Amino acid sequence: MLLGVGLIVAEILVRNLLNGTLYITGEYTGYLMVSITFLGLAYTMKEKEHIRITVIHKFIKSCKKRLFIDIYANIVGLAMFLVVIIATTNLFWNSLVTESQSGQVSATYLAIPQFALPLGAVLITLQFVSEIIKLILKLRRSEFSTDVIDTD
Amino acid sequence: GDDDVEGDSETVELLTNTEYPEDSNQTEILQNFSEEVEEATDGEVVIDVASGGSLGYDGEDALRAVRDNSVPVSYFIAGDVTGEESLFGVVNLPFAYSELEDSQAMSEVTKPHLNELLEEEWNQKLLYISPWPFSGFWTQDEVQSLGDLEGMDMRAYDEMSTQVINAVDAAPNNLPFGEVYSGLSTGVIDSVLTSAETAVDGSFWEVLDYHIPVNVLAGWGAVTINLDEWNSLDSEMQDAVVQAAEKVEADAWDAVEDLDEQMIDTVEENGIEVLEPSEELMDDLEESTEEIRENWLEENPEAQEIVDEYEEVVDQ
Amino acid sequence: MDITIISLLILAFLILLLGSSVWIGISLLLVSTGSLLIFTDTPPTQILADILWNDANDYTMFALAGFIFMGEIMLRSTMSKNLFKGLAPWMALLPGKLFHVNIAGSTLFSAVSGSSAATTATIGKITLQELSARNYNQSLSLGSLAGAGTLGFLIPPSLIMIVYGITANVSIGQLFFAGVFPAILLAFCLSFYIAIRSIINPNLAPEKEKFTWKDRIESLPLFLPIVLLITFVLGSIYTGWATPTESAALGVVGALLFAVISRSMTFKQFQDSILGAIKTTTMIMLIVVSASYLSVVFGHLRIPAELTQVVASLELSGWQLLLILTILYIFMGFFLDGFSIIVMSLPLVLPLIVEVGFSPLWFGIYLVLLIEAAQITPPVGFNLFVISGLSKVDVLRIALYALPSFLIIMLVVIIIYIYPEIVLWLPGFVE
Ligand code: NA
Ligand code: NA
Repeated sequence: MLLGVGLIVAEILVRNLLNGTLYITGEYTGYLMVSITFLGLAYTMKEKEHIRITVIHKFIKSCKKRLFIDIYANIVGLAMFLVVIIATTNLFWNSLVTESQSGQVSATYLAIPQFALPLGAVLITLQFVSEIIKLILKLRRSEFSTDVIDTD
Repeated sequence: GDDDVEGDSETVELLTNTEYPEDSNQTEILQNFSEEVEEATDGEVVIDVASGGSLGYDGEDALRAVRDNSVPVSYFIAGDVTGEESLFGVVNLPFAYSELEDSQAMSEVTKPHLNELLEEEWNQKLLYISPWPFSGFWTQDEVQSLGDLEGMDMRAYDEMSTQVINAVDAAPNNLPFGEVYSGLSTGVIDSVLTSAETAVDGSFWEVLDYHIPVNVLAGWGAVTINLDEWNSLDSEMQDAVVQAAEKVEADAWDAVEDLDEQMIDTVEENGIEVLEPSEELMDDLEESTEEIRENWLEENPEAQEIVDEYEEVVDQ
Repeated sequence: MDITIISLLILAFLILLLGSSVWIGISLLLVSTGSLLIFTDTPPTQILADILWNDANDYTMFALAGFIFMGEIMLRSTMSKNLFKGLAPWMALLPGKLFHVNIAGSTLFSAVSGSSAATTATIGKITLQELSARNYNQSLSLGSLAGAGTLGFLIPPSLIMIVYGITANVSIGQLFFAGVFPAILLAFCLSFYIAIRSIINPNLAPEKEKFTWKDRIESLPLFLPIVLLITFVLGSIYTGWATPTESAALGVVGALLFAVISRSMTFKQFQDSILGAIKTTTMIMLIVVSASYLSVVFGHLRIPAELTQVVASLELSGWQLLLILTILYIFMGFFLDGFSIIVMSLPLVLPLIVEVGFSPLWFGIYLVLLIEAAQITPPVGFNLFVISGLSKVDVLRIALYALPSFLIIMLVVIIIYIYPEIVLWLPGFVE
């Protein structure tokens, strides 16, 4: 985030004061957006900042059933991101073996910024696994007690 | 794909990608091709044109998308795929050919080479090449000599245009097309290197005053088809498609000069002054970009063969 | 299979996933991948990876990230509190009091930002906490923010207008001018609605403090920093120092400078603002790329093209066509983002519109208004997502709160249909 700010401010200064350009600002800011988007996925999931529609919780009062619903949602997420891992690993691998370069002045090897995609997908997949384990443990515990467990 | 077509099982439907909008000249050529193919095959082959990038692919992705059959047919401009396949850069050499006939001659010479490369490395076949009008400078201040270009903040659209702008001692700026208009009106940039067609698309007359048609960069678009899809057509269909492609390509070359004139008329009507480049300016430009051409040929020795063939053809 | 049945099946699948509390971005990814797999013989993983890469790799999206970051910094420094302290004595003059900060703030900020999501995120970061701490009615607070945030597209600079201008071959400068009066009209209508609601029920805005004119004069220095910041960001754009995208980075620097000079921020708060910005940006980006994947899948299924072709075949008169298009666009707006709506429908719709006698310039503003409305309709509505992220209130509930704002936008659509001069006068005058 700060890197992007720094890069763009540097570009603005170079352009306006030195009448030059850094050439790479637009391109690298794009790569930075890719990194923020994908490497932030797991952390954002952990912090429960990804949004979903939770009206169904209004209809299901039982804690146990809510836990089941949450386990289901996490399994769907896990399954989808397994597909994303396959897809993005292919993309990354393809760029790596064909040595694809960006069409811009920097001629950056695309495999480098593209590595953020499979990496981010793997991280969020692990996050889903950890959530599912946590939920199953909660479910186990709730079977032995009648305490109300609050699931966001 | 052809699975989801009801009725006539003979029909082959080929989804065709282009990032250019429906009413752009290049998409119109593609539509002509679609009509020609439909007529020549009695509707057995349908080129279904999806314009405006609605299939999610830019020109830069076209080679890969067609290779993997994510789209069976795609349009792209040569300058967009040089990162994937540097040989396409032969199209974009500055001042390599400043006349339309030279550009067409180059296209004829390059075509078999490109086709061989595409079939071997990219699992696709070249259907036709369609020309773009030449690129020139669009500026806020009058340009008479090479010195007038010095220090301008000029929008570049790819690596080659960046090199050209550097070579004339202007400052290249790689703004996305969507920001060019506001960049010009606020002064982030004061000039653009592009074709008249793009100038009309972007209503440049509102924010720019001069055009100097120095024909610095030529450009072509190309349409390719996935080789597996191609081989699945019977030979009669293939012949018909090839003939349609040839006809459309010839028509496109015939029309491009008129089109350029039309576009120039449009910008003039809207108040842009079109300057006449002096011989001295043209010589200076050619000299200052000499190094770019030499460097490119050094980096792409396999293109030497094409350049030699081209010079042979032009000399005749 | 028939295109209508396919559309309905996709719709049902999407509603099923969203309704069963699967994350919005993941639902969109799953529905799109499934549709490609079932209804076409195009390999879905290839397209999935390409879209994820192409759409996240977007330099102009940094405007969104940057302005979110700026909002996080402003929120954690004293700047946003001061904006409130400064505006409170002034806005207390109006019925509805500090609710109007949502409208005034969004209108001001829209002149800096090209996107509605960024406008909503920035203003929401500042206002929502303050309003709720003062016991303002939540439904009116979230609903009015949802509506006012959409001004980001109508007040120049506007990313949507640029895309429309390029696609429809209409002057972008003229579009920018054409948006000004409709934007003022919309802001006025939103404020008017707040005033009416608050007159009927004064408890909605339970401001207890009484202010004198002395308070008002003394409050002026308090919102000086934010005025300076907006002037700095706007100034950088209009003097040609920076593009709208780049100005987001300057906004961050400006907000940081203020925080440092006024010593109103600890290092811990600074770290929190970075993490906060990353979370919000990631959350929005996942939905943005997933939504554009769905749009692309629709493109492969040729759904928008066929839909508009059906409309074309009906041969309608001007107002009939507009009515049908409005319904069609509202429907598309449930699921698609504004950029996709424009790019996919315009090639077929624009010729129809011109043929029945509407000006493409006027139609651009009409379309921007409908896209603004689409920003606040569920299940896919970016302003709703942003506000839900900020307030932790459910998306559907916010959509309900935003319904009055939606209706007000539709009212403005009707007004500009009856009085097209509101759109066309300024661009004509400038020319
Ligand atoms: Na705006
Ligand atoms: Na919506």
